[in-house]
Amino acid sequence: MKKSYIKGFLEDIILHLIAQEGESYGYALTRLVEEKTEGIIKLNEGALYPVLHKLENEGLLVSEFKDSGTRPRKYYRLAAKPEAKDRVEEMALSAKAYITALNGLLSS
Amino acid sequence: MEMQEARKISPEELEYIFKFCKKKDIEFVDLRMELVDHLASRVEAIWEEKPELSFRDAFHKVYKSFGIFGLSTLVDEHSKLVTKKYWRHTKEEFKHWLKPPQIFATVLFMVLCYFSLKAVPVLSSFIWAIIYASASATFIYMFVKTKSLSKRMSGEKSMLLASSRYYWWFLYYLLILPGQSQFAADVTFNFSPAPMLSEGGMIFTSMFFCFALIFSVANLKMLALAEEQVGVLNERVSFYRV
Repeated sequence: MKKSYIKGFLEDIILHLIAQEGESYGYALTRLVEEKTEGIIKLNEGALYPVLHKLENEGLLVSEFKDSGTRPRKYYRLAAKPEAKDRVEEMALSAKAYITALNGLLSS
Repeated sequence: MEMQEARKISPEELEYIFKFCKKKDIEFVDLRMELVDHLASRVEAIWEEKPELSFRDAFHKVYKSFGIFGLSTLVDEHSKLVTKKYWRHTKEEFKHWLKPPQIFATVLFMVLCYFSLKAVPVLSSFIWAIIYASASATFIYMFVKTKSLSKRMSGEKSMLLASSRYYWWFLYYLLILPGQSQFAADVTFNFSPAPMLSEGGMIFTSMFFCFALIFSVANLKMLALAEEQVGVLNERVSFYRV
């Protein structure tokens, strides 16, 4: 799949997955996206980390380094403020509307 | 049959990835640690399928998948993010002081400053002297403190510390910008008792004094956050020093 298709949705995909998982880290997110989309969508590190840090910068995500046994691992979770939850809900609605609109276009 | 335990990255291999990322210009230590974990996880995933592969071969395979630009895209994106982080933090501080109930204190401060200037015009020189002195003191403090924090991190820097190093903007806004304003003639030091400030000059001075203080607070707060992180990051970085 073209990378440009995904680019516009990347922030929303990441926020949605983190909200769903409770907390997650970079590598797990890439695996999760691949598994859930059966390999159609692949996240690369060059795109994933800037988006994670941008969302953290905007206060929508909070992060914490924890020990994963052999090394430190940075976990992200949704910030406990209404804006973060609202953004996830708003994103789900817009994505559904967008997919319906696209389906309408392509099937006509 | 006994299940073979999945092969894991050794501390020496982790250190190798850590140093490799540093060589590839991943200068922010928090980003580097995150990336090391990512690369190590990918190497371990390769070993799940091909446990006989050497670490170097598995790592080379992972790094090759980054394409011709390697990690440089990541470096570029994060340099931009660090600048944005500084401005976002500063904007948040301004937003805090410009929304109720704090806005009443902000406006009150400006109004008091304005009427004081109107009543005692010579005060403008003192206000500007305070602005320049506090800006210079904050600038020197930020310079010394960021240096000492970086030293405490053995020369490393976090994204937050790098962001707080953008304090030199502070110097521009506080020391150079007023000189470029249309009220430049008003704001030069002049201790003559005659009224020196135009109406515009008084409004400008009052607002600038207030904003300079907010700017200063934003910078110092950011530095305090960076300092809070130092202990945690130092402890984590020790994982990569075998």
